[in-house]
Amino acid sequence: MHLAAAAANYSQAISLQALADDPRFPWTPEVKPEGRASGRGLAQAGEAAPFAVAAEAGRRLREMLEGIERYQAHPLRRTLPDPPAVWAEGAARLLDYGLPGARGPVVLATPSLVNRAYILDLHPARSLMRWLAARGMRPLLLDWGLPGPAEAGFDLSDYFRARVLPAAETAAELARAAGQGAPAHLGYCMGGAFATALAARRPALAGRLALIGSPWDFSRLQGLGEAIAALAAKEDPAEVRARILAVGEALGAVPVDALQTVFAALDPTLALRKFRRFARQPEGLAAELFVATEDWLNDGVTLSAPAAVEIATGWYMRNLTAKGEWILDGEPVVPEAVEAPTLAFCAPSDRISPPGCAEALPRAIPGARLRRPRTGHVGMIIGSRAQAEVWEPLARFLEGG
Amino acid sequence: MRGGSRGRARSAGAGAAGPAAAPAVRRRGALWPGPAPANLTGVRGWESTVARREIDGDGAGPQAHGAGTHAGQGHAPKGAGGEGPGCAAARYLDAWDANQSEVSRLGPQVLPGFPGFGR
Repeated sequence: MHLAAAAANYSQAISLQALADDPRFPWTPEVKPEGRASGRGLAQAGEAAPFAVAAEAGRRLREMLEGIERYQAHPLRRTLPDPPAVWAEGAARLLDYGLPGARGPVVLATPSLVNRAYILDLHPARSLMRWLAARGMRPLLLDWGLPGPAEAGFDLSDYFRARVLPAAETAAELARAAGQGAPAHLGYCMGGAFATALAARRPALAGRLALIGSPWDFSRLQGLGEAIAALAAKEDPAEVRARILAVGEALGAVPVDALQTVFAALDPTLALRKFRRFARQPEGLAAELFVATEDWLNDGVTLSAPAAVEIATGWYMRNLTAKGEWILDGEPVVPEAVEAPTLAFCAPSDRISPPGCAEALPRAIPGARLRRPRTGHVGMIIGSRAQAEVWEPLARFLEGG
Repeated sequence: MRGGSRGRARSAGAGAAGPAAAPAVRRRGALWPGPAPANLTGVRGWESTVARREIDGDGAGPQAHGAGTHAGQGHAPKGAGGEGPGCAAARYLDAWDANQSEVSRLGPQVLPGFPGFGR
């Protein structure tokens, strides 16, 4: 899919090259001066220009392939062992990263349902869970696992009632046993919606609330995400629901590739750019992190069909979250009811939860603080700036700062 | 396949051992744990090989937005009159790549004359 998208994209580039200096050429404002200048350069090349563009496009596609093949052949495998589970139900486990003798606060981290939880424990050099543990905290990671027979019919309310609440109660028991107050909660991506619902409904279980890249106002997506959502909004939610449920009935769940396709559509030439870059990247930590991240991205999870229906139609199509009409376990989720001190990280470069979409959540929570780290959605967890711009302020907040 | 292959380079070894020898762990992009069904093993593309995102906006250098230096210059044939066709082509595709990235980031409505997306 990515190779086909890249090849099709460059086919367009080849066919349009003669018009690059034409004022009607679809350059964006920022690129236009350079784009038109490149067109003048091509004009000087005369009849050789289309052949040169085709040759250069071919060279870039070969470079992309080299990057893909280097990734495929890379020896790195994630070998970090899972810590012990302090609770498990169905496919879900609550992993305890606390080190022996840890005296710091208990922190329950809730990641997204649509990706593997181990993004929070990706690599020895980029593990938010282990880094918090090394500071003396007791981080607990809610690993949703792959939806199995127990979760096949789960909607988001089921996940909240049967997974989030028991995990939060377990965390609260551990905090009580350690002589602490209510545990802190960390919600990453859509895990933030669950953490917010918990903090709003059960204040005794949530002493503090931290949110990282948590989407909320789906009327404020950006870029191609906005365009895709706008097109989807013209569909009949009932028909979309029926289609998703039919997929779930046929395959047992919504397959990973369906979700991957949606994410790929947000930036169709991203794979071309990143694998070309990886082809030239020297061996070292950055290359290892690239491979580890790609492995994580490709290790997606299936999604139970009813949960997929809620996310697609309730969140993205109808924006029920920001409207205060998202019904979870029988009640609307009201972020305005959160009393716990709250800190949210919303990155300006986040394409999954763009700033307008993510910042709506802390804006709705009374007294919530907002930080804007200079990174992207995944970069907030594993990027080179993550420790300085996210982890450290997060730790100070979780410790009561 | 975790512990097996990311694709062709490693699947040769896994294939030699046969599907039954593959570790019972989940493959990239697979719908179920365990080895791939026999009719799918060895099919390139069975496993997802490329990903949808990168560590966006972080440490990615100029290529993060597709606007690298003229990557093709090193390989580009130069004409007698300064910037050769190869350099001109590389410059054009650099601009093209940057343009694609901008459209993804800002949406197609950023293009002149393109209608907006009111919701």
